[in-house]
Amino acid sequence: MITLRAEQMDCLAELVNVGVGRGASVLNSILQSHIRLQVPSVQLLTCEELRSELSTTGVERFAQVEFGFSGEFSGRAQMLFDRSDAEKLVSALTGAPQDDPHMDALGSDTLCEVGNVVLNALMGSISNMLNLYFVYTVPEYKEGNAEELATQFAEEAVFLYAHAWFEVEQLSVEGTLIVFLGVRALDNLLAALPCHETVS
Amino acid sequence: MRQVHERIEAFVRWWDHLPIGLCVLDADFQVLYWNRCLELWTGREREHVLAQDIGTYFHRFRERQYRDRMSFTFANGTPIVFSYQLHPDLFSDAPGVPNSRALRATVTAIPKEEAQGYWALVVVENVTELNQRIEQYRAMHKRALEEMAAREEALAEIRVLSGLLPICCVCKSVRDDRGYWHQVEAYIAKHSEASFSHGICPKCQHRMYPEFFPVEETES
Repeated sequence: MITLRAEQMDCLAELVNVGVGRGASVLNSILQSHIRLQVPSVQLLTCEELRSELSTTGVERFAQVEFGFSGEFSGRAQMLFDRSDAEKLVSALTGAPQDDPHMDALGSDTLCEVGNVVLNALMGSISNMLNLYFVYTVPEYKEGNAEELATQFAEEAVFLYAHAWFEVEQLSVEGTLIVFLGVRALDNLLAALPCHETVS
Repeated sequence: MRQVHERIEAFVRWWDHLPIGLCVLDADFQVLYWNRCLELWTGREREHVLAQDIGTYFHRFRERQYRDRMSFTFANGTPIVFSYQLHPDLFSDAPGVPNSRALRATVTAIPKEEAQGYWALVVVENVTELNQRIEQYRAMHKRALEEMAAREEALAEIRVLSGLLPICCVCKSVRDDRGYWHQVEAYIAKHSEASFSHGICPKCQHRMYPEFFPVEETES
């Protein structure tokens, strides 16, 4: 486990919460329905810890939305869902029947937009609040089990890991936000935090 | 602004030959470029759309939520996905009226050279064919599930009616799995779709009420 000072963790948690809050507000306006989105916890994990975290979820297949960013530091931002939860979420968002959900090309494109909204808001919040500049790649949708997902994780990377809860109508769906950062990128991110000066 | 248009025109001349819709927007939503494919798919010609606010022709781009989302792209360069399921009328003239084609759009940012900020490159894909195939597949899937359910139901019914029933040779009561005896009508009504109405046959009329139904009468 990577340990940061409490102020640093608070700053990171606030960045994520502000971003996710903006994401929820954008989703609300797109979908004209009340969506609650909460991020109760934020952690920094090593590759090994992330692998173990994902393998203990018991999720058979994940649905993943991802884009890359580069600039003052580089990395990738991902949003993960249990695939069957993602099907339910897409059905709830599009008004399709809940008893016959589909995660075909139409469904995955819709989920890609949902992930894109949340990840944009998250990265926008990091970029605006820390005055950082990034260039982004186009969002992509992928699927895989925990083992398949783990092959994308570089051993030396550090992962900003946050659980997110979506509440749409009567449906409650859990998602996971992951920002992949290299060790240098983490240093740069920490250096940009407003509480940096207070860190010894 | 004319110079900007000319520069973009020169740079992207070959974009007219791509089988996808492309347009470039400035941060004030003014259209800087509009390719031939978009002319065809939206019915709006370049000469009318260029240098106009895109919201003049496509109502969604006048709405605050769309402008707010795109303002992130103009300021921070974040990409946007406008999926067909959530925005079926993105390039439509009127609210709630989907385009004749199913279109989905991805917005990416082009950094401005001289100034801060970005232009938005809107890449539009025609997913009509894909959409139709998926709708057909979904309908087939639903039909197959309904047919399977109906078959299961029919099989269950056949299983009930084709089972071996222990029946009393005198009173015709039927014994159930737990050893209780039931009147045959009650048993069959409970375990099948059949129901009963009671009458009396000519043979029994004579047997039970010979004074009212003599043999000749009932036989005729």
